[in-house]
Amino acid sequence: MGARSALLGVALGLTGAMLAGCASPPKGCDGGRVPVDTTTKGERGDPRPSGDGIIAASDAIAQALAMDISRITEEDFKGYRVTMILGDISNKTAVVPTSDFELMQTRIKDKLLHSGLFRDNVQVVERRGRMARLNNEEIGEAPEDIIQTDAAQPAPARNPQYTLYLLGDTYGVHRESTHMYYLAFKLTRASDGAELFSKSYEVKYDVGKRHH
Amino acid sequence: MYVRRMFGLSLLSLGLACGCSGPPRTTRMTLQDYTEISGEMAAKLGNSQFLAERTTSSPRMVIAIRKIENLSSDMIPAGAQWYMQTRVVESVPMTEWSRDKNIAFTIPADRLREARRYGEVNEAFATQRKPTHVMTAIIRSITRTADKDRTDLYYCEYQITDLASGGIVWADKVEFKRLAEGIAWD
Repeated sequence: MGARSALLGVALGLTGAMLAGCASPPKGCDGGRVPVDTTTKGERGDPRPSGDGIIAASDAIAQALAMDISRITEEDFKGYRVTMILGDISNKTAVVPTSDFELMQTRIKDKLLHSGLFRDNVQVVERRGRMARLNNEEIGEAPEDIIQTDAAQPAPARNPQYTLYLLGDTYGVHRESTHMYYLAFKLTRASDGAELFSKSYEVKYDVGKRHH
Repeated sequence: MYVRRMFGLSLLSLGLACGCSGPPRTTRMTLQDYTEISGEMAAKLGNSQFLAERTTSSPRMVIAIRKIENLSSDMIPAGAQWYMQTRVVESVPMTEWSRDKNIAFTIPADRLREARRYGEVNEAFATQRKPTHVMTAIIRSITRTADKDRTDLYYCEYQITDLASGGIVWADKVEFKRLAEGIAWD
């Protein structure tokens, strides 16, 4: 009887302890979806540019380029519709992955494609390497893999005189808890490397202050 | 008998404890995100300037869709990648687009290869599909963390590209942040 009571007591005690564990304060929360222009706690404590900072920078650069594009094509190309390709990004921030800036560059391109004025003056094209891969996969690479006949012929080579690259340069300077970033995008002519447009965005974070 | 009861009671306790653990704290995309992304993109494509400018006399456009490319930090299963792309096309009024906009969709290259590999179709099937354009989509993300707080900014971009010239004829995006506090196993 005594052994049974002890066993019952242990079982009830175990149940009570487990239920009491459930009543402890929550250890975290699934915050769900928030708008992109919100600065979150996770971003405030991170020394890298916040997501909303990257959004704001891409908005500012796209807006400036959309406003300037008709002047550029009028002055440098006598009104010809030029071609723009997303070019290389030089990442000298030391702490931010280049994929973050690729997202920023993609966002600039998407914003520009929504501008009627920009589309009237510029045709945005995919990188040559990516197009070659897409064509190979759609048409077939090896003879036994050919999945269609009479494939579309690739366009002739582009005239570098009328081809512009959207290049990115990013720098970071770090001092203890302070982090400064310089993000710049330039429209550079393929023939002579002339920079026809440049817009930069500077931002400084003090992680200590952001954190508190 | 008595020991069995005790064992049952302990199992019940364990079940209750597991039930209290709640959903994981994560910034991963949810099934609802997949549905909302594709729904929003379908609406954006339907209301796009690109579509508005096309008429019955526009050059024939044959679009091949491709599986979404995942460049984000999240793991997105292949099924979900196809789901998000196919759902956009499924929402398109194909007969109207073909008649009024001169746009058609063709079987994806991956699907055709698969059908041939398993002998579902013969070698001559769809050899004249001739896509002029491809519809691609890329999901990217930016991750930021501090202590136990994590935020992921997701950027989902859909694009229609001319296969011959490489020209981007339409592109649009859906973007949002997901945040979580705590550790994954909380």
